Amino acid sequence: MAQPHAQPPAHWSGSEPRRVLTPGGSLVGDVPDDLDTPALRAIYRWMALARRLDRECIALQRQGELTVYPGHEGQEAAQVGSAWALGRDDFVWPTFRELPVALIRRVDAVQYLQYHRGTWHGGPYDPRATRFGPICIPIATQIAHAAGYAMGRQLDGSDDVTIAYFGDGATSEGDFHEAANLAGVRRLPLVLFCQNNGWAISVPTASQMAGEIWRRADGYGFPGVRVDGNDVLAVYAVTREAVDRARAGHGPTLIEALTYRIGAHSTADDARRYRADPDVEAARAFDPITRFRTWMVAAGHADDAFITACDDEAEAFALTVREGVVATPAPPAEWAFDWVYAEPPPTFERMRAEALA
Amino acid sequence: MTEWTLSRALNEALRDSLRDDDRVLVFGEDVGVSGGVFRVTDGLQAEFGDRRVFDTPISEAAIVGSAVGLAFAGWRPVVELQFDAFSYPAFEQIVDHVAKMRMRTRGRVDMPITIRIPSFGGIKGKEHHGESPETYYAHTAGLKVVVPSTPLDGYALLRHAIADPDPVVVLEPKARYWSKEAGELTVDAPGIGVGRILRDGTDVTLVAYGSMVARVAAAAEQLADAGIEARVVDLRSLSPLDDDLLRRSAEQTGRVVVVHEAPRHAGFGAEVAARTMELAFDSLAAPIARLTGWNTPYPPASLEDGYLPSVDRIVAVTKETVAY
Amino acid sequence: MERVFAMPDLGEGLEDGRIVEWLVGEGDAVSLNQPLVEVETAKAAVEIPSPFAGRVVSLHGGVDADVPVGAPLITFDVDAVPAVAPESDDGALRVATVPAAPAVRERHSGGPVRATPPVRKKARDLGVDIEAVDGTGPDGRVTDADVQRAAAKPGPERVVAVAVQQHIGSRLEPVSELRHAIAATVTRQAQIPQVTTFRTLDCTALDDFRRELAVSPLPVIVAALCAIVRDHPLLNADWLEDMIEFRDAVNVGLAVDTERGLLVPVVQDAARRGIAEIAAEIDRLATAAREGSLALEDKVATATIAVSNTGSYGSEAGTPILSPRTSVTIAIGVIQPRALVVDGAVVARSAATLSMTFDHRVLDGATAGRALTDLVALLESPERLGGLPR
Repeated sequence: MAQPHAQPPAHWSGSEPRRVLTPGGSLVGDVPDDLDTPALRAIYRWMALARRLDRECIALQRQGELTVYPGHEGQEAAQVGSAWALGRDDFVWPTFRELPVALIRRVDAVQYLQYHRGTWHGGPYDPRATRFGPICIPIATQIAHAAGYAMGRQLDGSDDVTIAYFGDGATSEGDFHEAANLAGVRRLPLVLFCQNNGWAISVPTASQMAGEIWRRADGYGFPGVRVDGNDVLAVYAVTREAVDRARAGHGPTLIEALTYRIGAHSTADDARRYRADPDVEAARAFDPITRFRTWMVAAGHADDAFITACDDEAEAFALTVREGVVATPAPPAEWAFDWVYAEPPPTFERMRAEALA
Repeated sequence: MTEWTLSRALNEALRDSLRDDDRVLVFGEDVGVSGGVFRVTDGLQAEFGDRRVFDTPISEAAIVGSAVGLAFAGWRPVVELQFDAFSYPAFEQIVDHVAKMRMRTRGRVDMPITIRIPSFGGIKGKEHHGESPETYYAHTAGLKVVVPSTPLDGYALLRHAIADPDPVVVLEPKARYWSKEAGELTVDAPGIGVGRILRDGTDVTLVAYGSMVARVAAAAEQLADAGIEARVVDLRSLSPLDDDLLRRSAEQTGRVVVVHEAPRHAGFGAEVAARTMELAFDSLAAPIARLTGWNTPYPPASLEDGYLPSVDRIVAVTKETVAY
Repeated sequence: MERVFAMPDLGEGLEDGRIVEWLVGEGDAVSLNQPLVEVETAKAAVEIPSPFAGRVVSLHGGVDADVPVGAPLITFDVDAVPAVAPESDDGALRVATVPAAPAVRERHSGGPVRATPPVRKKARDLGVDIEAVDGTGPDGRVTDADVQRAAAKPGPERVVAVAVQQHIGSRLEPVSELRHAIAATVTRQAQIPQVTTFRTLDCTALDDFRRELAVSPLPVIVAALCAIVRDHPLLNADWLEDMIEFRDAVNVGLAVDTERGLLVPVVQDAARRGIAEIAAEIDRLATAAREGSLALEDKVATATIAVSNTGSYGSEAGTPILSPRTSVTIAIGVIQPRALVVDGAVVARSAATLSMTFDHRVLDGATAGRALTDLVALLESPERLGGLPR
């Protein structure tokens, strides 16, 4: 059960974020009126799936089936809530931590995880079919891609919206600034969604920047908004507003979603080297799934049977993904050559022959 | 017969590409209203509108990064990075994304992106305005790199580059933007990956690209007076490289001199020399000579002439190679 | 069914892990993902969950043991059915094949002798041991001339280890450097797909013509060959794998028999010489060959086409092996009276067999046949013979 008197994470201080549910699960804002019970249940189900799959992936890594896995525990509301606000044709540009968003965009989890299994870069899923860009490791570079994609849709007169996901650390990169500036000056149909989870590997947000992320939007000429990223209803509401703005041609929005990275940066990271376990435990008091469940049940949208059913489904799902991951073989050697060029030159073909002989 | 400068020929190539394919976009700094600092994009915005030809903020990384996103959205971006050294802020986007995206997406998403970069020295420019970045890009798997040397061929190469479904970096020799050539602009010229013999000869092969081609051709004339018949090879394309032409030239002349502005250490001449040696070792009657810029940062304008390979130096080194 | 779980790489290239504490014992039943063991790596302490549901058969390593990545950690007895490969829109994911490391190319041992690549190749082709050659080039470099000179000299007697059973009553004779060189050349040249086409040449006109000029038939044949090469350029061409090289100059190699063996000196640029000059040049070359004083530019390496006077040692028809870098050898057999059919009657005429051995990659039968027909026509025509440069 939530502890309402627990200290919130340090980086949540400052401007008051938009909020619908308190950390304890009480309603303090308006439930978005386009979320009916089925939708709310679906949202809860996705969060449960994402949380359970995350745990399974960590186990898979510990068993040598994945090489390095970056967990998203604690960020389920920020991702599910925002992804839920997107239209079918809207396009997502992720970093490397958006597995929950990938699930909602119907990216096959086993294909997604091939990135972390080392069997392919970027994920072998079709980005155009899933409207979910390749997993992107170089920090903030995908924001420029997102700006370009948004520009491309705008030039075609489409009302498709583009969303770029990135973390607090990414806002220090030049590509964030350049892309945001470009988005502002061209009024691109772009939602800039920042999950401020408090950490860029070992560097806390306080060492990353002096100001608040959402305020930077002002400098680029468009609105910024701060939201409680662990409040899935608020995240949905804020993202929905930003998506609607963009779709109506009113330009970009910068959303700073305050959340917490419960796990380490990745399975190759020992977080205990730079943050104390009590801090992490304190952050668990603000768990997004717990508070949503509390409210769902209290508001009559879900009962214990439903919750249990979600957990069972998540369990089965995790095992299915496990089976798929474990059975994924390494690709054949020629795949290293097959897609480098649309029109491979003869010199390239000769090297392919040399390598594969 | 119409006389074309390189700038005007490239301008025409952009114009014809914009006209032929309505998914082509031309953008960069100062390319729209002003027509480009070397006039290569002159008149294009007026003709095709600011939807397809437009100016960007000073954001090289975002210029290239947004080209990636535009390619995802089905456009064919032709971007300009205003000067050689100013391509470096975009370097990460070029090598991490433009070059790799097709492989990353298993061929589902092409990067039909053309990156035009006015390059090389010889214009008595300020610091950072005379760099030779060709090796960084040629070294990057997934990219193609071309270097036009003359107006008519520049037209053809740029049109090929824009039409290519793969990303192409076009390094335009700014010192040659105002050089003239009479003739018909046509795409009916060898494509990317093929070099050309500008002058044939039997005694030695002189290999060059970009702004050095004219110097090498002049050196060949002088050498002829001294009884040395040099074959002049304009590589045109650094990646892919026409190694078959290099092999044949080494077999037929037995001696090779490579000339480029870039510093010698790990410069493109090393690739030419290694490849030629691999393919035609038994034919080499002399070591392959590399005549290059010195291993220093590009010098100030008043020292430029001592840095760039001069016609005299080319003649001298070639004579040594022939006499070996 | 037994399954062995090996120590995984727990973080980006770690080499091993140290067992801190076992959380299960041998014989225990375990469920999927149940914590098995705590392992310490260079980066962190990590709990490893069970990859299987089943029973622990054996634990490989005690507390504080360092288990290398990839070494067995736990053996299980599992009841699980192996998973099936997932459906993928890429079609069947095939099993990886690790490409073998490229074979290291054997390096040519350069030794202390300095020589450029074409010279080394020449030495190899002529069977000359370049290490034993004195270099007269700059800085003691071995030159092409040095190699040629070494090839012409009889080498020291070589003791040959004979692996075959020597027959009773036979004797062994060591093979000279030159013979080795010839053997190497002809062996290599024999690999070329070459065939020979024959024509009978009525030598009446040729005899009259050459007596008038007071030369032997050979220079006339050389001149005639040069004349028809203009119309049949493939005769003077060379196969370069993906290209055919057409040469402008006609350098005619002539086989000369010497004491030491067959040499092929070359009449350079024969198409620009008159018959008298060709004849004088042939004499000079033959003498020099026999004396062992052929110069560099006279040597076989420069021939673009060859002529063999097989008749000089009585052969009626020859199928000579092509010289290096040529596509055609013309052979003239012995000129002697033969019974020919002329206008329906059998008459005695001076005649010889003229043959053309050709590289079948460069010429086909029809092309060669046409050229030979043209050569025969020229040599049988007093008018056309008269048109040859004198």
